Amino acid sequence: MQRLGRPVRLLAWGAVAAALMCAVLALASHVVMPKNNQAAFGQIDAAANGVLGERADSLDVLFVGDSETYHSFSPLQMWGERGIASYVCATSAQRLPYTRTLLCRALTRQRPRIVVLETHCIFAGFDEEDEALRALKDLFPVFEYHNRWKSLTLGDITGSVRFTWTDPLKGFTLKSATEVRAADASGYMAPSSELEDLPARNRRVLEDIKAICDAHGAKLVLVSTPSTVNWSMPKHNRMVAVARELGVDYWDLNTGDTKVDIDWQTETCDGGDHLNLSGAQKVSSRMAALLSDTYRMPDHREDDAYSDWDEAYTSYGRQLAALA
Amino acid sequence: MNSYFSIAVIGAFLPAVVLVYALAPRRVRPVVLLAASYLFFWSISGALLVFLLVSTVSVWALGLLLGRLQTRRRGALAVPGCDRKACRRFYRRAMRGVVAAGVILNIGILIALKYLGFFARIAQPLLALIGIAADGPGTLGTIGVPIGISFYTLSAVSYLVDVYREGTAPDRNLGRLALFLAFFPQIMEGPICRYRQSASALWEGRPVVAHNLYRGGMRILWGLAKKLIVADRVNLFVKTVFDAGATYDGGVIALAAVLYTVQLYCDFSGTMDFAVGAGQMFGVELPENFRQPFFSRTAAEFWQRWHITLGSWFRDYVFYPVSLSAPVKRLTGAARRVLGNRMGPLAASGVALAAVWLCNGLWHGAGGQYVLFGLYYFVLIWGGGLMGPVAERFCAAVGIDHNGRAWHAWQRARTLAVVFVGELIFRAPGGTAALAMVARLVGGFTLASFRDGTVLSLGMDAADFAAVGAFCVALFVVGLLRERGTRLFGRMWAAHPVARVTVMVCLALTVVVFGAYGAGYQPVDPMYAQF
Amino acid sequence: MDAILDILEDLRPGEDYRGRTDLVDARILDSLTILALVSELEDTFDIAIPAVEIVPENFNSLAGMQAMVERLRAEER
Repeated sequence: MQRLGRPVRLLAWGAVAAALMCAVLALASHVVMPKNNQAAFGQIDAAANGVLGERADSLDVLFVGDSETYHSFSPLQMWGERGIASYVCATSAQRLPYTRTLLCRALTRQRPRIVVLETHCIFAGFDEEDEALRALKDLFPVFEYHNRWKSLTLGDITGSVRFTWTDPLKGFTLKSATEVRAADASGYMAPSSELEDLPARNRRVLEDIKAICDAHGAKLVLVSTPSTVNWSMPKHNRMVAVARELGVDYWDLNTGDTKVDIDWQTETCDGGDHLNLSGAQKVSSRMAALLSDTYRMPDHREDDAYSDWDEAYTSYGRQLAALA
Repeated sequence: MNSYFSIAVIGAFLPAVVLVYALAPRRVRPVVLLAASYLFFWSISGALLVFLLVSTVSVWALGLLLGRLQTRRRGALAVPGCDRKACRRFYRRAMRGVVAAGVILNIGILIALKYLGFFARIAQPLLALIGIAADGPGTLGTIGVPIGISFYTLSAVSYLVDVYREGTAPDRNLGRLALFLAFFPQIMEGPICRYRQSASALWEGRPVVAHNLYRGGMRILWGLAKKLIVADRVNLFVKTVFDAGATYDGGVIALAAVLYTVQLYCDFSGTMDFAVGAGQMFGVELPENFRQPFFSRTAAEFWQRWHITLGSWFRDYVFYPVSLSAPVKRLTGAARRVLGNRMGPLAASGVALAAVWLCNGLWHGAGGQYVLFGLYYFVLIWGGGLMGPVAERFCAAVGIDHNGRAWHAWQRARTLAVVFVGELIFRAPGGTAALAMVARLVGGFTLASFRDGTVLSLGMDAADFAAVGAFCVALFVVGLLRERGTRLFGRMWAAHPVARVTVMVCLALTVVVFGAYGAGYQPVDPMYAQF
Repeated sequence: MDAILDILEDLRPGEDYRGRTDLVDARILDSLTILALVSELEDTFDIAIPAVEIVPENFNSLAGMQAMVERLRAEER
């Protein structure tokens, strides 16, 4: 009994300390969480998190991925052309664990039919440290928003967390819309039968993302947007193989029948890394056609419940006119 | 796992090792520690583990050889009528040869891996002058440097010399010696342990007890607080200023020197808190590396309180041997005849001090700024020693109480200034940049940047300064208490369990909320691991 | 014994050399003082003190120094 006594007491106190720690972290998380999903309230990656401000269950398509995604897909253009209700939940240099987090977050309020994952971020490296920290941030937002101690007000303690804001561009960006820096496309998609290496860790999270989509009744679709810097035949080959193994559709806009003809002299803003507006318009058009023709995404343009999309589209048109 | 303060180490590796260690039978526990230590080393440096093994096996075998020579000498001296002096001389020569072989091998590996690039860079122009085209260190440069080599090499050498000096008995147990050199909480940045300080305690397999777990846990949390709240936050400002060197005005450079000193202290002593705290969890007390250094009254005293294990290593294995070598003894004798009993030895100690500070500078790395750093402290400490008697006489003449509070306060302030300038040289990207920044500090000193708010635009905002300031006050209070002999974490254990748990949770929450990590901050690699 | 005490009093006056057994550990004798002390001891007792002997046990107390000096004198013979 005495031999057992000490370790048991130690474990008991350890459990008390752990429970207390969790309670305190949960409390602190509430305090530092932005009370609205706007940058002005301290929201990190506000554009991507703007999806939380969309009317519940109103979106049919979610785009997730890294900066390739928000430089390529314009939801409002797709609305104008085909009446598709979609949103881009993408952040720069995104790693798959964060992709999973943002997807899960969006799925708490939306029931999309299609989730489009842009493939560049699938290859981006991360380690167990990144994954652990991401899990910790999801569990206790204080790990993500702790820096808000600098701007806390009384309202942060008493108020509740609300999501009322949505991005006027639905997650798309116009920041480098008119910039042009020609790409060197000489070696772009040079034939190769090699397979790009996909780390087991990345593969595991990708499978997890597929399972999450399945559980929410959404169809996962992989799409590679055009980029001379970020895409290549070995990556294409790997993606074809992975898509077959996972049983998901894969569309590569860099090659084959689905290739989008980008003018690499004028339609990239940074030498082939990202597309500018002109390139994005071509990709969005193709994507809208694909979603509408192949996946039969509904056209909501005549739907009264979506009148706010018409307003957003009008304002989008004005912004484009101002750029030109 | 390239830092102790990572989720992988604090959240997984250390708890797992503690758990396996606690559950293992006593005799197996040291093996658990050794396996964990090699795993840790491997995860950072991979196959470079070979160099650690070479060091370990070499000092083990040479130590045993020394032991055998000592036994034989005892036997020879016991024979009646032997020529004792000749016998002693014979064995002294033999043993010196053994020690020299071990030192040359171990220090040789250190120099080959760490410094050849530097010496090649210096030698290149000279070789070019005589028509030899050399292209750097060649293949050696591509091997890489094993983690902690600067630290464990010194421990290995100290073991061998201690056996030679007969202060330590040679160890037959290769495992114990291996764990002494490789113990994972100390492998990255020390403390540089002596064999008798930690080897047998580590190998005993002491049980894990609640008291030590709590003490160690609090110590690690405290170190984490230093690292995350202060060191990583201050880095934003320090990096901005030092990257652009002498383009800022003297006021900004002065602030950067102060903040870099604070950063280095919090980073290094925070890592030591991890080492000592983790040691405590396994029931082992590692030597302390810091003793409130900023309360020092002289530069010499500062080095008895800052990176203590390095300073005492140089004292015992460089300073004394050089001072007591035959040529320096002759010099001391001559100096005494000219300068008197007090000043003579002081003046002659300059030779040994110069050796110490050249080694100290170079130990930190192969770079002009490190040599300059060593030279700076050599001049100050030697000069300080020589000026000591003069200052005393001056005080007596002017009527200042040499042991009064006011004089001590002045000494402390002066020493702080000396330390700040020293770290300014140390952090500068190269020797010439160091001199340029010191020149700017002195020649271009102005408070303009403080008045117009420029200082708040260099990476840290007002809230960041407030957080650093508040934590420094806490550090000062804790330091003052320790200076007076109060050990807070030891005392906490006497409190009610609820109070203990509450304090721990509060400290953890403080780190989580006020730590400088995540968006907008760059995690800084442990600073001393690069030395 | 008295000879050593005289040397110590000359180098650093005003300490309780007879009573203390922690002269090195309490940092009353720092490394520079020890060096001066060593050269005085060598002169006074006509011995050579090698680096091996510079350990706290030999310098922490007056008795320790005395013992070291006597041992070295014996070895000289």
